[in-house]
Amino acid sequence: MDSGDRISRSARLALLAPAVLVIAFCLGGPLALLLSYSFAPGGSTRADFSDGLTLENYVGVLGDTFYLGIIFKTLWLSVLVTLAAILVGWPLAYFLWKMPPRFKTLCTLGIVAPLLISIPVRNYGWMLILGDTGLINKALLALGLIARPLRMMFTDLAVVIGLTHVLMPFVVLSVLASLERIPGDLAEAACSLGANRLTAIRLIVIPLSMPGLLAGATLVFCVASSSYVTPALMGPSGAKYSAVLIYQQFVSVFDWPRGAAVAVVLLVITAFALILVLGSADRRYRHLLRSH
Amino acid sequence: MRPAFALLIAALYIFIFAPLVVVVVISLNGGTVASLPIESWSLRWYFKAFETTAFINGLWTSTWLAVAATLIAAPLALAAAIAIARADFLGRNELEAFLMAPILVPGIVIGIALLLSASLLQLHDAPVRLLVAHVLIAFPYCMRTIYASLTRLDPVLVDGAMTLGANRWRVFWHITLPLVRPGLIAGMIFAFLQSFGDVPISLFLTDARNNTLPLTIMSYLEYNVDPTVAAMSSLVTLASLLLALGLERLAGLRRALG
Amino acid sequence: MTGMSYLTIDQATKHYGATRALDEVCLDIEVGEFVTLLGPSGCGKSTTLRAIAGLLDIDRGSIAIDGRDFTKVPIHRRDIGVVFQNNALFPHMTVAQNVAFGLRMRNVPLADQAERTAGALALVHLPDFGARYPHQLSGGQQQRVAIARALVINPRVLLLDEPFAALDRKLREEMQMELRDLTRRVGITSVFVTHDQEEALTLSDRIVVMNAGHIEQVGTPDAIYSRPETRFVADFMGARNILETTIVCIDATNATLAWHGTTLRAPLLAHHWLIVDRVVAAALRPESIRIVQLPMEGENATSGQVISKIDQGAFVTLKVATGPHPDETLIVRQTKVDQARNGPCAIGDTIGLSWEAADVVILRDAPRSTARTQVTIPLTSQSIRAARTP
Repeated sequence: MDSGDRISRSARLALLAPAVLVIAFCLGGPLALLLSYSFAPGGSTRADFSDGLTLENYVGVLGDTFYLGIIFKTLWLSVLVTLAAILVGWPLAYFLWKMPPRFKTLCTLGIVAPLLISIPVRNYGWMLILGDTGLINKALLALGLIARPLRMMFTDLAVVIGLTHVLMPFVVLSVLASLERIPGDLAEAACSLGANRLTAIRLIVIPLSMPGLLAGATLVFCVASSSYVTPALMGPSGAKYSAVLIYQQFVSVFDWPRGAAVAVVLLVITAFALILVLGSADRRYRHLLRSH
Repeated sequence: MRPAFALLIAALYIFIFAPLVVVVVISLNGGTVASLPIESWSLRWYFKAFETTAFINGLWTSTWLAVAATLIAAPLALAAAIAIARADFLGRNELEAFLMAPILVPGIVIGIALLLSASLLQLHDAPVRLLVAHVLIAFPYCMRTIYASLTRLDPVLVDGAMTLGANRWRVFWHITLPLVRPGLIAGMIFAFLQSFGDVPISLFLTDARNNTLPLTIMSYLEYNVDPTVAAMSSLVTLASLLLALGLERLAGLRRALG
Repeated sequence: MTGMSYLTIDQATKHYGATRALDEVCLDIEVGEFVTLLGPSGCGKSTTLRAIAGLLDIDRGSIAIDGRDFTKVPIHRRDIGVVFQNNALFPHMTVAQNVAFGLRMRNVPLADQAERTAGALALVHLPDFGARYPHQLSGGQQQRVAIARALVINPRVLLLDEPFAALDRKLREEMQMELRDLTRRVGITSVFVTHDQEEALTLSDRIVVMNAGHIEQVGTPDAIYSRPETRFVADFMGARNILETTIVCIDATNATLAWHGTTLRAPLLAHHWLIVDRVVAAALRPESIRIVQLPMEGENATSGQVISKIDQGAFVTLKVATGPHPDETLIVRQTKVDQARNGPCAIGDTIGLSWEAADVVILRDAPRSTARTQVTIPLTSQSIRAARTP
């Protein structure tokens, strides 16, 4: 045969079948089940369809200020995290871009390697730094700048810091990929035409890094809005964030259909954001890490 | 590089490494409280960590899960990647998105979906539930690096081998597999790390006897204050960074991350 | 066409969507022949080669080797040696392992593998290179290993797809010599693909000129060079003067043509089918035109003004305007030696030009439609067709 990779159609089917079946049964099926649960009457861990499908969970979630408040707060916080990640990530990406190859690998490793460390471990470090008896408070007290410890841990601020720390590398990688596609002499051309370095960055580099920035930012937003670990560990107690809310519905309140509805709403928002922003962006950016 | 910018970058790197360094420093604290100042330097908390049953069990569970999931996911991913790389058939891109779906769906959503399914199927055997979930986690990471390797494989090598008399199986064994091996191993390391460090999916599927290490660490953090957890965390950090280094050597971290 | 050829391609057709990559291509190749498929990119030469190798399936037609139909035989059972343009050496194997690969696939015992590998490497003048890896070799050495690898399995046919295209000129010429030596010595039937006319002329027993999926002309290098049959072949082989002439009259052996006031006399060849007053294209090589003293009279001579002059090392190329019409230009090429002898021409000079009748080649617009392409046979009076008017 003269197909590009010389695999016959039946061979291709046979190769794909195991993976497709596993994903269909172990992910597709469960997700479909989740969806169906969201249409069941709430209040228990069972989905009782004897009275047919119902929208009461969605009405309950989307019509209740408590739930809506949590969802919007989570989205709002995700926006903050995204902005912070951009502020931290873009300069780092620029720095890596300008690095000579000899050091580039090491510096990149430093930013990216922490992605591979389990998140509770990373959050723990922040707890040690931001806590009432943590690094910052101890230092400020010792210096006499404050009289009582600043409450930083178990606040929204802590969650934003923690999530920014965890998700920022995505922005770095994404922006770096965009920057590296900029032809080398563009900035120099701008300078030869009279622009100083900052202007060249503002007018040339930043616009050209936009695709990567957009893709990275969208990813950060999506992951942040569905993140569980960091809000659970570092956030205020009680379900103040979507993912924690879902957890509670399943593990303490035991209202599974209600929890399922919240999850579906979360999924829809995430998918919407992804499609909206990445619909026109480079395909490659879509396949970035899931994590939390 | 201008000094203001250099200062900014240094500050950002400190931001990245501060939490990791602090954990390691605290873990070496001879005192009983997980905070500064350091009273004395000691390794006792590392020893204590290895005596804490919860941690040992967590370590064991996380490790066997990650290894088993990776070993199961890798051949699936290899087969799927071979079927898709360089191919052009109807629905190919959609199929690729479908196969990468476990990465795209939020972890917590996957977690509860699996909980519902396990409950429906009366699947109370925690190791089995966890294994299924972790295979889902491992699969896309294996697939991505293998896929990247395969696309870089020059098709003329396959042509050459066939004209020399190799049928498709022999081409796979003698040519494709050896050349894809770095990508395969890189994918497996990556998948191992993701599986090992997972929280939101495992959260809903563990039971008292089968708890993963990150979850153990999390619950420890909520209730205890001694540096044992710092010791355990430092070990996890160190192991992860070493594997990251290996990943970089094999396939380049950036390429592995897509 | 006599007897059965060793390698026969019959009506091979291949479509890619609406494009016809191969259009009913027919070709016969004899045992031990070195045949070159020559043409520009996209002409179908590589497609033909890959069809012979089995690397692609043809939509219609057949390919037979030594009497056996190979059209449906899978790649790995064809026993054909292929040398690719980028050599396709396996990067993760040593040179020796590369060369032995085909033997390994045929389950040849290890001792024989070693012996035959050593023999093949010696044949390509790389006897001590067995333990090295491809990336440690230069481009030329890599190609030699590729040739050794293809030959060691004693293939029925050796196929080479522009193997020297990536090498520099000097190395390319060396490799061409070596290849020719090798194939003659081993006696293997070879099909070579290139877009480089010089390479084709140097290497081949016969050349097959292809264009847009069909064969324009098949012939010896001399025939292709001196007696191109179609406009395309003439142009491709460097006969840059293609003159639109009108047929004035035809006799037994020659035709008289008129071109913008110049009269040309051209020999008739067996395949020519001419009618008076029709327009026909005639090719004239720049090297065939001599600069002569004015005044010029008679046929196969003209005069004109030099409008450009380019120095090209061993040659000087002149553009001469023989009349007011922009078509009335002749490109003349002289060696520096001849230039010196005749006295140099400057731009603006009026010079006389003359050439031999034998150098004027009457062309067809399209290749012959006969199914079996043949070597052009020399002219004899018996081959003149009855339809010609005196």
